[in-house]
Amino acid sequence: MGAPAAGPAAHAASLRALVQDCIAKHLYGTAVFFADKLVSLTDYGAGDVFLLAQTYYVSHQFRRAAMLLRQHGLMEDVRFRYLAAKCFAEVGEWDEVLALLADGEPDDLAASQSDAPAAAAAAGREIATPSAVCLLRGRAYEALDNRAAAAQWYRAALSLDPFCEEALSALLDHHLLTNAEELALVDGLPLGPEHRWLWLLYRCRCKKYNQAACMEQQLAELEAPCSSGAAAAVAAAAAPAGDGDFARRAGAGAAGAAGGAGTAGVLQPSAQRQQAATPSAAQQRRQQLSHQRQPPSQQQSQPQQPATQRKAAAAGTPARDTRTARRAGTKQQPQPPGAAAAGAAAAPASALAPAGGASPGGCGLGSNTGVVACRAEWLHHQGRHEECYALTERALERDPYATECLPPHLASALALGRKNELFLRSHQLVEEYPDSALSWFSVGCYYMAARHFEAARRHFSKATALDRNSAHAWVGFGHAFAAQDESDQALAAYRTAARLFPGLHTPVLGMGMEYSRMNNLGLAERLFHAAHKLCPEDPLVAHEIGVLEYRNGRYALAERWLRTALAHHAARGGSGGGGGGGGPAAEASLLALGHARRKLGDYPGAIEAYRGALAIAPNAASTHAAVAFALQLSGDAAGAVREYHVALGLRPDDTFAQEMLGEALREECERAAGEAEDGLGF
Amino acid sequence: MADAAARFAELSAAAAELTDRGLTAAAKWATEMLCGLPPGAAAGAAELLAVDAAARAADPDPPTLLLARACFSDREYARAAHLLAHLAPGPHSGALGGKAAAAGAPAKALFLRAYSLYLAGEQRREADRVQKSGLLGAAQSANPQLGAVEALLDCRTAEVDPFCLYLRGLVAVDRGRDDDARRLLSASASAYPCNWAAWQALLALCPDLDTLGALPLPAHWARDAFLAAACLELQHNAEALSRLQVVNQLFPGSDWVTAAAAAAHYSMRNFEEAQRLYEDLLARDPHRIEGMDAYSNILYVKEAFAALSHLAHRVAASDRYRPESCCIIGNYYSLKARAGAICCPFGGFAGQHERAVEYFRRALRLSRRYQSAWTLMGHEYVELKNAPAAIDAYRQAIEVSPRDYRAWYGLGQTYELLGMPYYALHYYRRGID
Repeated sequence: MGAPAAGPAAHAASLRALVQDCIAKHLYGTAVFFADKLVSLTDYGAGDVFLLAQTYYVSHQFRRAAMLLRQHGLMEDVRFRYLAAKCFAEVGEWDEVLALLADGEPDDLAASQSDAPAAAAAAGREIATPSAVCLLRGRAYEALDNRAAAAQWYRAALSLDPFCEEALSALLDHHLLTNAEELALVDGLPLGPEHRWLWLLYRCRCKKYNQAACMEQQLAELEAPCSSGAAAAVAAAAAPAGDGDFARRAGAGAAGAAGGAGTAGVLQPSAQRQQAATPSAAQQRRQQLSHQRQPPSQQQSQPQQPATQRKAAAAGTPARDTRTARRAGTKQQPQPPGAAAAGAAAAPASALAPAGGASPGGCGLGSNTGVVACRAEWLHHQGRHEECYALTERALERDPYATECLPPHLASALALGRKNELFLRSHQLVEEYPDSALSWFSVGCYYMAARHFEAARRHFSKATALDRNSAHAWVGFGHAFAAQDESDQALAAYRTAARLFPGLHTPVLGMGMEYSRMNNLGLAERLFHAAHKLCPEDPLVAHEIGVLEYRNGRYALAERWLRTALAHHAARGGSGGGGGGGGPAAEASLLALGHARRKLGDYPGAIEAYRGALAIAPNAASTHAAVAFALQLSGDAAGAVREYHVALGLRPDDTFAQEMLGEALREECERAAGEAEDGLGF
Repeated sequence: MADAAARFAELSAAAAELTDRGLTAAAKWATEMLCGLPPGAAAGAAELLAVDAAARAADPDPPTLLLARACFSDREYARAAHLLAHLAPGPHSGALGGKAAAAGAPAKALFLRAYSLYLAGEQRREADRVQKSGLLGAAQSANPQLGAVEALLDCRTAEVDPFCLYLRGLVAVDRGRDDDARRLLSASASAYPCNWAAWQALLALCPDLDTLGALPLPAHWARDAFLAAACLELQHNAEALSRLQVVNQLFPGSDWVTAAAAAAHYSMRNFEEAQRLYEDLLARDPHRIEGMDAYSNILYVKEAFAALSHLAHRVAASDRYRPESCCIIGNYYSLKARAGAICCPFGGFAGQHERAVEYFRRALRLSRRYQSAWTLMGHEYVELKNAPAAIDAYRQAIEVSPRDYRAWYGLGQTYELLGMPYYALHYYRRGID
């Protein structure tokens, strides 16, 4: 630098390069220093001001950056406005964000720029700026709790550029759309045949409702090793993404080639910030996973009611039936639906597949964490917890911070009661990421597994406070209340969840169950049907509707619904390759089905259903008593006496069985006496 | 590679022999080493193994022996001994047994009979001890069968058979004839180096390196393992590590070597390295309990509450009635008590020290000669300000093994608390020795 004579222009150019290099090397303070001098030297040239604003942004001086851009009146260019808006987003001034990003109708905008995405997609090199702008608008509306508008803008962002993954994540993770809408959105994305892998991946990330027919096939195709053609396509499309990734990490510095006012690099730092700002975005998927498992404890918490029972028994209607079924029903909880009857979804799926999608080989993404997470969710959906746990555990061993694998992992650990593992994992998470909602959610799961519902509630609530959009934490919060029979608070939690995540059926179902518990059958029915509409394949929904119809005295309907529930269980068990008949979760449905059939006077059918339930849970005293009761009603007093004895052997204080045993014995004696008399008579 | 194959054949045969004789712990050790051999070792050992299998097939065990072994495995020792009375040459038919010389069914039966008798006596002794004395009571009872075992083994066969030699060594230990015991045990180990039980018994008889040096030991890899274990026991940790290195070259994948190395690092207060080794071990064998008490001590010292809790739950799920498990759980409660003083994430911390004591006590009920449980119980009593009980516990620890400085130190500390500086000084000094 001995020669001071180099012209000011050259000087400025070298400073610009230096600033870019500092950003690339994460020396943000240095970058700010030199960029500041640079603007003074060049007398606030637009490009240099932008560079300075960028350095402010990466060094977290958001307000300063926004003020700088505004002071210099550089709000004409969309890129400048976008950066300023990003800054306001960082400091949470969402109204400012919306004011900056001149509002419009998403549809108009999409129409007016319809050629832009085509160009971007053709080049395949960068995310279209309007798409990023739409994404930011969506975030602003979401933060302002205008979820409908947020969803619209996210969709617009995606249709402007299907590579804008964050928009899709926001839509999916925050459950802003119903299952059908999600699928329609993904199918409608302008993705060429060369991007089939991305289409597949997007589809697999959608909610797993109604997808039995195609999900397996899609996942298999994603996981299968590459054919050369497919590999080339993935690599070609992934290359820009990879660049972006790197640039993101490098704080946009990698784009230095674009010169001082970096045209190409503009969006990248924002992407980085966005990521940092919403670390949990990727984590909030799949609430379905997280909840439930309400506890068998409810069995203890709902006391037997001898008086009612006796009365009911006399009338031939054990009131206990519904309670038992309902109680038991809460055990099996909203597993995501497996699927029967999803054939309907399959057809449109293949029809809409871009380019007929007949790529012979796979995409070779089998080891990718995202694909593993999709597979794990799918397994969890089908209630195959053991496999899901094993799969995610392996993935987490490879990469302990793979946040997208954590929710299914935690949920399956909870379903399997792996308390000790949950404990260690939660401790690690809380130690390393005390600010992440997922960490506290994990602690909540541990307490759920340990059956400390009070503590679970505290931690779920902490998770929701850290991240309002954490669907599983909200649902877990509701479940923790429900586990303690705190219906009002549970309802409040479920209601919030249902409002925040309109595409999700679990909170609706949970609300229905609470109303049902509170004997508000009308509301419960409406909610169950709403849940059924959202997710027709959840056996629990069908089960709950069946029990509800039973309580309403519509036994034929109840029987039909319960059979539907069992069919869903069976479909799931069948696809799971596990035990036949749908496993332990089906027991409650079988029991309720038996009760309904008994009411209809179909005693053999009832007994068959009870026997099915006994095959799953052989030591349930109430089931034995129910078998006995059905036998007694069908006139087999001797068989009834036998079964009542079994029931009383299992639970000696069962007043219903005691009383009915007396009845049955009397009947038996009378019959024997009658026979004897007949015998004597002849 | 040929050496590895030879070791493979030797250990496979030893595993079968030891299992046949009911020396399960030694068989476990042999198989652990077997699994630690380099992967190619099995290939070259095929023909060696075939010869051995043929020999065994040619000389099948008589049915009574099989029945006795089944009873033995089922812990019905007296019954097993009685069944074998007809098979094994008794003390008066010594000449007859002498012909059969070393191996073969008679020697096997003789050993199993004597060993059954010995264990039956141990069972009785344990039962008596529990009945007669409280935990801290000093009532000692002797093995009532020692005389019978001695008489049984007083024959020619028992002079040659390495296993009988081992058992005679055990009897000599119980009788307090240490020199005799050392002679018998080293003869047994020389004749059959794969019997780790003999080495271990020998280990307990070596209070210092000089005694160790004077022992006539065979030139065998088991000798290296023994010397490593002895150095570890005598707190010559650096030497132990270098000897372990030698063994590790022969058995690169052996868990035993890893565990011993971890213990050495632990004794050298090299906690990071020890922790890494223990974690390795747990990753390979998550239900392992042996040696995990040392790991729990490390976690305790580092106040890694989550990891310690995880470990405690894990061993409790594996087998909660092992002395090591109880010790780990005791450590867990103790740390919980300490953590409770600082922060309160779990609530309800009263009485955690008492629970810790209870678990250490349980560990000691399961194994009275479990030294570190005595020491840790002493520490807990200090926390509970129960100085007399603490002193008693530390003294018991010292009685088990006077080489542990922690117990001496604890004793010194307790006397210091009691305001008896001369006593304290004396015990601190002992700790330094």
